[in-house]
Amino acid sequence: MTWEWPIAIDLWVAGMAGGAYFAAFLIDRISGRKHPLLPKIAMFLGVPLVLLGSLLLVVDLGEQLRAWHLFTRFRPGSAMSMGSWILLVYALIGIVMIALWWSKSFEPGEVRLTVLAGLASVIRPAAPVIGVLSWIALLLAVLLMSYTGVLLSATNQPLWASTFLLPVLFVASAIFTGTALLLLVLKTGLGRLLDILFGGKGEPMPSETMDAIGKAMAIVGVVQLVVLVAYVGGVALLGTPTAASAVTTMTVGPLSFLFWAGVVLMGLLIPLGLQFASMKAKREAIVGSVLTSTSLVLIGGFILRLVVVLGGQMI
Amino acid sequence: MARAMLIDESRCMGCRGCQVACKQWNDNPAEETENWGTYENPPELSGITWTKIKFNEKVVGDQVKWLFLKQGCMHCTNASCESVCPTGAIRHYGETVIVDQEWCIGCGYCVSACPFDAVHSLHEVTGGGEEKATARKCTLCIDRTSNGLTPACVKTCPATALDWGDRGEMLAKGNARVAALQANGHPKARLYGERELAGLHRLYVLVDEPSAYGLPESPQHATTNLLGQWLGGIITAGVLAAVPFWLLFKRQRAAEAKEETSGGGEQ
Repeated sequence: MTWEWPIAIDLWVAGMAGGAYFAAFLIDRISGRKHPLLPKIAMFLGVPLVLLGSLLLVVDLGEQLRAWHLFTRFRPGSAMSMGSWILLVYALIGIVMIALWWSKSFEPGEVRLTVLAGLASVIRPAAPVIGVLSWIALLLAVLLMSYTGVLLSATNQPLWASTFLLPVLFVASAIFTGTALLLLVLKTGLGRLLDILFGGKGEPMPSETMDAIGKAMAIVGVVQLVVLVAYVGGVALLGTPTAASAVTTMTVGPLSFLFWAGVVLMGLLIPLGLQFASMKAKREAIVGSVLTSTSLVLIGGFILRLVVVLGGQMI
Repeated sequence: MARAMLIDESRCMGCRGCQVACKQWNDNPAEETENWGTYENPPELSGITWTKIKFNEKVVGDQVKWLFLKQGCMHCTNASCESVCPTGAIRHYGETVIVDQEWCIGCGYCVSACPFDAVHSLHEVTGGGEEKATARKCTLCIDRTSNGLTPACVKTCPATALDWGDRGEMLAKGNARVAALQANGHPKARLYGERELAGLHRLYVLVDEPSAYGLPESPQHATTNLLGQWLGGIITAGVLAAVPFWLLFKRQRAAEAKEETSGGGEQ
């Protein structure tokens, strides 16, 4: 087997990083810039995730020391080349954005005799470019999520290439897991710590906002469920006989337990059930329920990537 | 002038001399395999087995008929491996598709992209564990053909099933052979590789349908739908942005704006 679990982890974390920023940016902008902390959280978590994914890609190479060859060419026809560039540029822009946000946490003219404050005052004049960078990062986040699906689709493995639905499925899952990651961070209080780091007061996010994020996550989850059914059904019915038998490696074959228990039940049905139960109760979601559902969404997202990556190479 | 290999499967007798000649010329070691109930061995192409005879069995009446297929890189004009290679390590040199062993990073993308499963990563057994290295495949013996020799497999074939030369000439020979076979009890005989993927540089004379040999009827280039695949991802993001996030947080903004207005009225 050419691609194994490191590739699945890369596709999972890269998608999640893109999805978290995508959701955070939209929530902040659509609500009229009421949640500027969210894009910061998304980048603060997204950059390490993207770096981890890139590291795993390099580890998985046959010749790791030649990884730099990737950045001597720009080949739009190769999803692997595009993906490498997207990961690199996204991480770089993310680091710049985090540095600029952080520099803004220092009061102008504030005199602190530390190296950090000195550094902050040096980069602070560049802070106005955050506006432009945040839009570029949105575009890159969308490409980052899409790349995870296109990479597998642009091959000749029947499970991956028979329909155009794999990028659709992976993008839906990326936004689902990314939103879940945001909600998990907000509910555990890590979000407040990050708020303080970026110069805020560390106040908790209003519970209505967190419930609204939970609702958005649930809707994305329903979309992912529909796309998953369409993908599995589409490959089974519209693909070649080889494609149909490739699907059975997921549904009834060696990966069926992971698929049904991990992807469908744990990653979709249980978290969606918990989410809809708390929405129906018309009260603030119980913390335990949110922590459980968001964690399950994250794990389910990984198992989905693993099942598809391994299943595609079994036929 | 493009050259090609003509493989007449109606003449192949499954001796596997081509496999041995390929390994000898390219310094590829033997594979340790187990008997799995057929003369076909090794079971798959690999990083050290660049050509092999596949022993397809077809039941005709009460007899089993062998349909031999010499597997290996087809050197497609429209080569998927070349398109997906992120570093440009896979390139055409004339008719031959070559993996530059000094430039390949061993990402394995070409392995997944090949419609004929002809590219493989070299797995070296080192200290009990397997290590993935660069992509390997048939080179059409470019080191021989660029010096006026025929590929090693062609040179060794005792059944005269293999031929090498100008592609136009090979096509003519192949078509003539197909016509002869069709006239002599093989109505399904056909030439494979003339137009597939803009023309292969391995041409096959088959006596049955390609699927009977395990060949794809219409091999697809890996990046044919690339734009649609990117758009699929991007449009999904757009729809998911518009539906849940827009609905929920637009409402939040509207609600707050309303509160402000009504709050202003009370004062």
